[in-house]
Amino acid sequence: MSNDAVHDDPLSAANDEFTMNPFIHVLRSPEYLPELPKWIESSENAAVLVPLSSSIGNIDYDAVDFVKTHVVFFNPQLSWQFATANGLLGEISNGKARLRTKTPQIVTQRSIMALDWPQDPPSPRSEVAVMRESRLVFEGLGTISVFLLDLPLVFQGCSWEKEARPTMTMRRRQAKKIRVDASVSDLKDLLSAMPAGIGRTPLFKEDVADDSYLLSTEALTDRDAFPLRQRLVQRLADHRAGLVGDRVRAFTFNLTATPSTSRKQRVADVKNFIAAQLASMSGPYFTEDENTVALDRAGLEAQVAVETFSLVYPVRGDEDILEDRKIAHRTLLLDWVRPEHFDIRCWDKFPKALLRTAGTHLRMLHREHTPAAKLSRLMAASKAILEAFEAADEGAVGADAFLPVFLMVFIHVNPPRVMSDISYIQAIHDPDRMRGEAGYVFTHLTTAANFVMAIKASQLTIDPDVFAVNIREAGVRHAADSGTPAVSQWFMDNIGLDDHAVAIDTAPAVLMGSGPTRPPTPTRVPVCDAATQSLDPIRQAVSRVFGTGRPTMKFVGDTVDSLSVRAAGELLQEYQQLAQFYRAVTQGKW
Amino acid sequence: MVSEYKLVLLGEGAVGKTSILLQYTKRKFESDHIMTIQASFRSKVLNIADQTITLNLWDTAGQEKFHSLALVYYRDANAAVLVYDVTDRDSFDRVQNWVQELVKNVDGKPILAIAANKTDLPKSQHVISSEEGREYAEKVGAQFFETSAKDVDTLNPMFLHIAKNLQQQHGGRNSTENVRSTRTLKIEDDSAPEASTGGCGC
Repeated sequence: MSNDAVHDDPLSAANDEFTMNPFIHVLRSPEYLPELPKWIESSENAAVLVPLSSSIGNIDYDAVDFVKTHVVFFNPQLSWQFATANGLLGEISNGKARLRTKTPQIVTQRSIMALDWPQDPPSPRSEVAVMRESRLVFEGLGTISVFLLDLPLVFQGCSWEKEARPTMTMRRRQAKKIRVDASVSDLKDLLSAMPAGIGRTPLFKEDVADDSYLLSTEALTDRDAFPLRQRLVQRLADHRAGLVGDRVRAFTFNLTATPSTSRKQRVADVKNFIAAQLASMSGPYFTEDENTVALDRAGLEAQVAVETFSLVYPVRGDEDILEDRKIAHRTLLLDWVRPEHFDIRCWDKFPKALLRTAGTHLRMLHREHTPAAKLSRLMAASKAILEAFEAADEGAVGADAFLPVFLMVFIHVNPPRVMSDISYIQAIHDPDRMRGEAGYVFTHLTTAANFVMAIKASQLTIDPDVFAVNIREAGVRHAADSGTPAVSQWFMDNIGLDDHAVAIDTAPAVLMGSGPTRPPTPTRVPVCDAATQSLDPIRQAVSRVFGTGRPTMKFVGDTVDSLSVRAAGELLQEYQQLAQFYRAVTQGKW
Repeated sequence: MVSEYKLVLLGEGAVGKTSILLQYTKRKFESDHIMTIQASFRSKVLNIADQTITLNLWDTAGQEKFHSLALVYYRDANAAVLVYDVTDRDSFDRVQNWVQELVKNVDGKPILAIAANKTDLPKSQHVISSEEGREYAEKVGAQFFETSAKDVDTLNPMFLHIAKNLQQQHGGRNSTENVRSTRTLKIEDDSAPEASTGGCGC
């Protein structure tokens, strides 16, 4: 970008934002994204902070909120000054380069809301103005610094204040901060490697004490929900929809600001809020055709669901989690069930690829964050089974034929968190929509869960004595992995699953930077002297556990200052290995 | 105004539930409409007295072993069609069980219809007479229909009756606040081509 243009002719620049400040346009308009490295190179004065926890796979470049949650500019020397893509707080300046707003804007309650600020915004150290991104200006010369954090930029309960006394939790979080200084060319390499590398980075979510802190290596999902949300966001610009938009922002803000209420209460709040807004969207402000209204409703639900997900989805200690474990165990005890027990005579004629698809979708159900996306997975699983019938020349099938196959796949893929998913969908999803096809496939899921939880020998074609023996033997076989939602060996051997669906991850994919765990926008980058963090405990643990056969951990002993951006790819892989190791340790497998 | 209702098909395995569903919802112009993925779920849009009514038809597994699982399918249904095979006494007995269960487990008053199916089979094979079926239906407050999944003309009156009753019962107001699922399948009334029997026989 041309910084000179800013100085020489601000009026012209104002008239031609794109020419003046293409960097910002990159963040606003996805079509410019491929040009990002080029513009960074030409700017030479930007600082980019990229949370490693963000998965590029999870970012919908078409989504308007991409910039809101995934990239923040800040100055490493004056880290308390930063800018978000949605607005600018203070200015960035290190004496050589400066990022500033053109014209300060009075901060109103409404604009605070738009920025997800806390109710009581922290006092800034400098003059603060809230600005739209179009008012950002780069000036001067400087170098580019890229900071990769393996934490979301924002954390519930994590203080970003310099003077704040770090808590133990905070210290642990800080230990995972990595700083990478990069040259321009390195940065280009890094950016091009991001989609592959960052999507595979594990995320430590330390405030969850069980093993659900861990992400699988699979790219994040919820693709289905994004278009709906994007559409809603676009609609919110419409004055008729703006009212609803304000309410959504205020509601999600208030909910995240008062996390002390019980989950049950939060679920009820979310449900009631969605219902109330849906009702209002049928009013005089929404006079379009039915499909438009239906899409608005779906978009609203998706938006609220994503924003409030981790406040609403069952977490450790909730009854649903116990139910998850219970059904996972019971499902394991049925791993000996074969098609003939369901009288499925055409199983061998089904293309394995379609059964694999169905199993993969069922297995991935819990990775979605909105009821609509979860139901979409279910629909896809059903569709694959129906296509399997079709491929086997069985034509259109009714429930008599479909249900046994669905149960068979369900039992063998043992979908993780299924009771939580059922409870979540029932709690949040628009009940009116459950009368349609989505409701129908959802009923298959609840039926399968009921079946497993209360199965009797008479429900299978099997001698009751043999049934009892099989259950008993399975109990012995799976004594060690009770409560683990493992895929049956038989299914893996005969059908298989897509790799990303096999891993047992009990947590839904974490939506980077969004959702209820997102606290108010931080006023500063986390304060941490990364060089003082010792990785010795990890190294010792790795040695102890792996002994001589330990995997290569070439970065384990490194300090942050010794890393370069070229190492990012390998570093990410190492993080992944460490995460797997950590998970193994916490699950008592070592 | 659009009204959307859930109608569940219940009955023993192989009495023809899926065939009824498929025949009744057979599409004349498939390319004009959004395809539903299920053969066991179909929507039918009817226009009655200038009001659009959507019937969402839910097929259920009829095997005895899955009987206990049926509750989740029918518990919030607005209407139920109980199907038996006129040549199979057991299937008629099962219908009687279903009626008892529905009365016990469904809130509100679902519209009930009893379909004596497979009437196209030779009379000599029938083991349940029209009178017996009709008498039972009257006893439990259900409407009785003699149907053949091969002949849509025997199905139309039944579903029309249900739709009109739903309309009447809900006072012309929909159950979904004027919003129709975006996946609704619009179906033109059709003549009676040979219905797929559905089911894989496996």
